[in-house]
Amino acid sequence: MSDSNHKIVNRLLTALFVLLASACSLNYESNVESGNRDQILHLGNGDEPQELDPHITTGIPEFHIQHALFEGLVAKHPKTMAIEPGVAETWEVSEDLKRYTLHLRHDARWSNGDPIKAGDFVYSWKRALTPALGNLYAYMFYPIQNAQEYFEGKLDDFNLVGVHAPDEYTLVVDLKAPTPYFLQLLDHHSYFPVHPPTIEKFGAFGERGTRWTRPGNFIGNGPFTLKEWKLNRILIVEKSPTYWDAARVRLKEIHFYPIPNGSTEERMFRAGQLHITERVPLEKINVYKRENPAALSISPYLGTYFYRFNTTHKPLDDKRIRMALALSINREQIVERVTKGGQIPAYNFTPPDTNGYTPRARISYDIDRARALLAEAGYPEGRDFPALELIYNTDEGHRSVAIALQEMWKQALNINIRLSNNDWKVYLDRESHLDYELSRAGWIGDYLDPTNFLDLFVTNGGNNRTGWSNQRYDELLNQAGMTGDQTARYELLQEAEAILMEEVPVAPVYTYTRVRLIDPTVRGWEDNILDQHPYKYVHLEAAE
Amino acid sequence: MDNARSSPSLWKDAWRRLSRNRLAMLGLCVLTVMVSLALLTPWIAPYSYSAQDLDLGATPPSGAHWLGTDAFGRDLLTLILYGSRVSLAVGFLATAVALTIGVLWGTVSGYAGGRTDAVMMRTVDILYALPFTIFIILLMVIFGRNMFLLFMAIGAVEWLTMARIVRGQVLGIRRQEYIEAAIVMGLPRSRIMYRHVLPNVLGVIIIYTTLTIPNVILLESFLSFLGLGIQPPQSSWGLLISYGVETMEEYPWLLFFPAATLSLTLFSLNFLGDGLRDALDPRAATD
Repeated sequence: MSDSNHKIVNRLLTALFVLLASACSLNYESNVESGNRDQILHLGNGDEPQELDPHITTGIPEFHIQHALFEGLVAKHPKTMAIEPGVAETWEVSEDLKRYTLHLRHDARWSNGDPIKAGDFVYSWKRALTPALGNLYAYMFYPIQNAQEYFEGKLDDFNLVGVHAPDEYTLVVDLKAPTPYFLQLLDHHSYFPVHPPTIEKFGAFGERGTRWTRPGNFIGNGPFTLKEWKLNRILIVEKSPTYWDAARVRLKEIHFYPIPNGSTEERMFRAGQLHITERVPLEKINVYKRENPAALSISPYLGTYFYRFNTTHKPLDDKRIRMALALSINREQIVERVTKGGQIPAYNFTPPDTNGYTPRARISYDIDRARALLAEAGYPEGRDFPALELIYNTDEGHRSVAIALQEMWKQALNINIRLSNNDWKVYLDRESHLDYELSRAGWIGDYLDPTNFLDLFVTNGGNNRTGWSNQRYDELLNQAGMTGDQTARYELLQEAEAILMEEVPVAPVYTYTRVRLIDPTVRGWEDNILDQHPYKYVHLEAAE
Repeated sequence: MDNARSSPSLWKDAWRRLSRNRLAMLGLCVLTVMVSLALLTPWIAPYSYSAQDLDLGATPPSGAHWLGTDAFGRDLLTLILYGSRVSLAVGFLATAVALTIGVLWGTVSGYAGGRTDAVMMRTVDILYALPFTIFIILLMVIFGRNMFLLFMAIGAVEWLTMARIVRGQVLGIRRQEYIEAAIVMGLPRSRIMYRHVLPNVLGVIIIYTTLTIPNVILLESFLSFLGLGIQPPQSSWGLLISYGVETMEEYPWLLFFPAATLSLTLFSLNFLGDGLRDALDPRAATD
């Protein structure tokens, strides 16, 4: 045997040993065991958080951490997601539903012991709306009188915005129109308060990325406070002794691990390194269903997985083509054979039963009609149809759905689709600059209301990204925003949804489910449609 | 004319020795079969490479699907056959690019010596220092994605080691008496390089080539995985293996068969390379 063969054999052997070593469980105490003893929760948290500032971030991993570090005026019940008191103990709503008077509890404190005053909220919301800060979630404040005008720079005086603190423990909010979901917004991170002296200490009022969110500098008001943050390795929060409801908090610490790779995360879970994972790799779902169903948690999730069409691009500017593509997706097959996580096929954009609203408009699965439409649009049997490019962000799950769709379209319409995976940032960039033809997308609800979904597609909306615009649709959403009566409001939204499903700037594919692995020792982690889990109710109980 | 008279005997000799080496002949046979299968794929593949049967899903090897199917119900044998076209093409073509540049560069640099050598080798050092991935990504961004570019990009990176190895060998050979004799006889430089230097480094070149091919095949899968190489539903061995690794525990055959095919090719190449080195060694010509 020659020298080069020896080298290869050696390499193979080394690889084998590494595999064996990682497969054997080693004998030291695992994170889960020690965590159960000390009430330390180990959480897989997807990507590394970019920032902890609640007025800057938009991502899910950041939100998971912010929910531990901050508390809004109201909170949510872990199971029903009903509104519960947070920093505000009680509140009253005026008769025209446009004025909210919130009474702050006197024992609410920042993590350095300072009392939380109504003025802190006015300060924080002013900061969140300061144009220089560039808060991408500023539109969450638009129901408030003059908030939009202030953010867009049409108004310089914040006193004209509908937020006032008549005394230290009372906050009065004036709305533009009755907004049935307004209380829910108060639990969104963009509405979280920040500690004014800390902000001022580390930078100017509207300055981004200052050092105030670093361990040691950080002051928050949540049930936990920041202890340690090692980039790309771990972020640790510990129980805050100054939190008003500290008696209820049973966890001592939560360790958030950034693990972008699903297979890595699953192996860590199996090795007892994590209590809860952020996701489960597709091919592992059936293994767990069969071998460890107790650890697998599948719960409905308020989110829609869909494909965007670039409506400014030929031939997708023709709605018959878009409709033909949308009609030939076999959604049942995708959820049953590809994603396999109990997802629900989506035939309209807003998930079913979003706070009592279930859209009536439907896109069906109808290949014959799809073919007819394609022929009508000038491409009988897909002849001369240009090959379209479909972009998705690098992820095994997105790739699988894309491969399945590619073949479905080929079979049904005889058209060719090129797949192209992109890095997350490139993908976002291409999508928002309309530099694509087809693009996979997902939208997760921030609060329980259909407008949270339908608002996406108003003309020039920041998250529209299809180039689609429809005057009637804009009017309907505008009207719905002015209507206080829930039934009348939902009727307007039904009509808007019908337009959306008629014009198909997007093709819904399925309604998300949240699939996680959860160690059976975790208690108080309830399934709910928003996938929010108030940590103060969570604790660990080792099996006897 | 001189050349034409004496070469046949060298190659005939080499072939005689090679055909006596059983392992090498086995390697050659396997490779021939692989290449012919790859060439004939469109006619012999049992299924279409994009045809899915989602309801069937992943099944282990059976009568209908000899090597089983993947999660989309695609026939694995078909995927491997189509993948071999991409992988072997990338493997051979990119290696050919690397070989041409590397051998030329190394021979000239080693033979010329002095300042020419220094300049040429420092160029190689500088290129070595460039991070490979960024280099390829840059090429892809500038020139766009296509298969031909993929060959060129990989080849353009792989020739560096080849150039160094060849230069080292040439440096040693240059000091041999027969080269000095050739110089004294007044042979032109190019002729000395071609007639006397190259045959003596052939063994090393062949060995290194057989190592480069599997390397290049794996590189292609890495690039495709990053979205810079080929994209689904097209396939290559490297891609099949990287998908296979993800689903290793659930569907082991999706890893086993592509990996076995790649390993078989790799071993064949190595055996053949070994045999060729022994057969082509000019010092063994008088045995």
